[in-house]
Amino acid sequence: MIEYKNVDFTYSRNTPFSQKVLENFNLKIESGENIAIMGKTGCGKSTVVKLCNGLIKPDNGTIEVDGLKTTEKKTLMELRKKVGLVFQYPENQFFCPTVSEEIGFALKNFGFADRVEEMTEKSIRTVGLSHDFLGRSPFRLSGGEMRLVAIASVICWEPDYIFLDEPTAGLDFRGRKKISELIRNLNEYGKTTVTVTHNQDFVKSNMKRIVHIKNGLKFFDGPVEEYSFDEDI
Amino acid sequence: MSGAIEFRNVFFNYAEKAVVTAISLSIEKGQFVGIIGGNGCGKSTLMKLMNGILLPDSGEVLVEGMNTGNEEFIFEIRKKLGMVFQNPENQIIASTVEEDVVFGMENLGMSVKQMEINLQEVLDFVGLAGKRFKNPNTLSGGQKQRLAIASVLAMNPDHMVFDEPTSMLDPHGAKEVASLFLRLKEAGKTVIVSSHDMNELVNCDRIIYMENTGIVYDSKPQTVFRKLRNSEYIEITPSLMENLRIR
Repeated sequence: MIEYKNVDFTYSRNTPFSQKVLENFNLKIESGENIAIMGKTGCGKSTVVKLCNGLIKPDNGTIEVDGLKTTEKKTLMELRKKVGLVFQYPENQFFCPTVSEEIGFALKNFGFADRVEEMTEKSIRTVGLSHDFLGRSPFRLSGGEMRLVAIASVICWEPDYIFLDEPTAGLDFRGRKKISELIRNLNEYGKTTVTVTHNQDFVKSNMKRIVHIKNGLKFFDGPVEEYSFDEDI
Repeated sequence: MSGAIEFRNVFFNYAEKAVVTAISLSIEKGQFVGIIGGNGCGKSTLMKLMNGILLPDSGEVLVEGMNTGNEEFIFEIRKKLGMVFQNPENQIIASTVEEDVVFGMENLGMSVKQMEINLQEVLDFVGLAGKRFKNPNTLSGGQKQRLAIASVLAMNPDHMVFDEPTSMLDPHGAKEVASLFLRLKEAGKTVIVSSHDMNELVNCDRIIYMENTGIVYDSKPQTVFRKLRNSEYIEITPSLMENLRIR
């Protein structure tokens, strides 16, 4: 379970550009859940994602993943192995010369050195890309292909909780269907998925619970069936 | 007769992988053109070839008769043809809306008087007049992308190329941006847009569908969308076809 308790977060605190993003934010994510986080650009969705594995720390309140606090340095590695994070802009998360090294990097770090090849192969296929991509440079892929590689480089070590920030942005029809299938499969294997998205059709057909954030607060939290979809979100 | 933007048998490879093959294409001034296709089909490469960010391995690209491969023309070409990319965060460089719009004009050596006129005009056009002195960080995604468009528009290019300008935006922001395309065309600009959302392209004069590094279809939206009804890469919904029929 992931639990956000009374979380406040302000960007550029104590500067003239200070911007409060989350205020007294509470959220409980049970194991195996399939959640969509929705809300306008700038409402705090991506902040919620970055808080979950300690990339940024709350000003007040706590975030716990299976009882491990994101502010506790000693257990941070263990926590990050549990939580996989796919960012909104995949080109900002690559740093290896080939796709296979990119995917293999996390695997080595998390103690799967002896299974790198097998797990790399499996994850690239899971996102619908062919084996040929492994030898290519991640920087020389198209926008959509980059996104699929970014997802492969996170699902490869099979974290329990997977946060996907706008996973369908820039993907073609086939890519979007692939991501739907992937989320379904992850849930079937008991993984928790938290997807930040603006794509309402995608949410309607793939998600179970919606958390809608508005002005740093939870505006709606409940099953998809009870949510009234409105163009203006 | 040659078009405003012309591709003559263009080939382009990234590290031995063909990305664009044998493309010949002519786009007239004032046309509104949609470029569609699956991920990795060559859309972005095609667009980057238009103003010399990328140069063809063979063949040539001409903007109003000027070859992008000729360094003498590159400044003039970039003045004529403005580009807007997917992620507004990577295009905004200044600390206020006003400074961001003015940056490009300063580079072109415009007079202060002219800059002031253009600044007000483009901010009005994209609906950001009230944000002139704001920090771009305080804008929403749709507003940021409109700022990026204003900054390009201020340089008064004849042709504007948009590479998936709405795919990072929320539905509201995407609508704000998409509504500008038709208005730009009405203002006499050539508008070239790539997108995965066909609803944004129903007003196009012409749709170019790419697959596997080449152009497969190049025709009116109705014709191209009908051909792509069972496509793996393009989502053609019944409401889209309905929308086109009414037009």
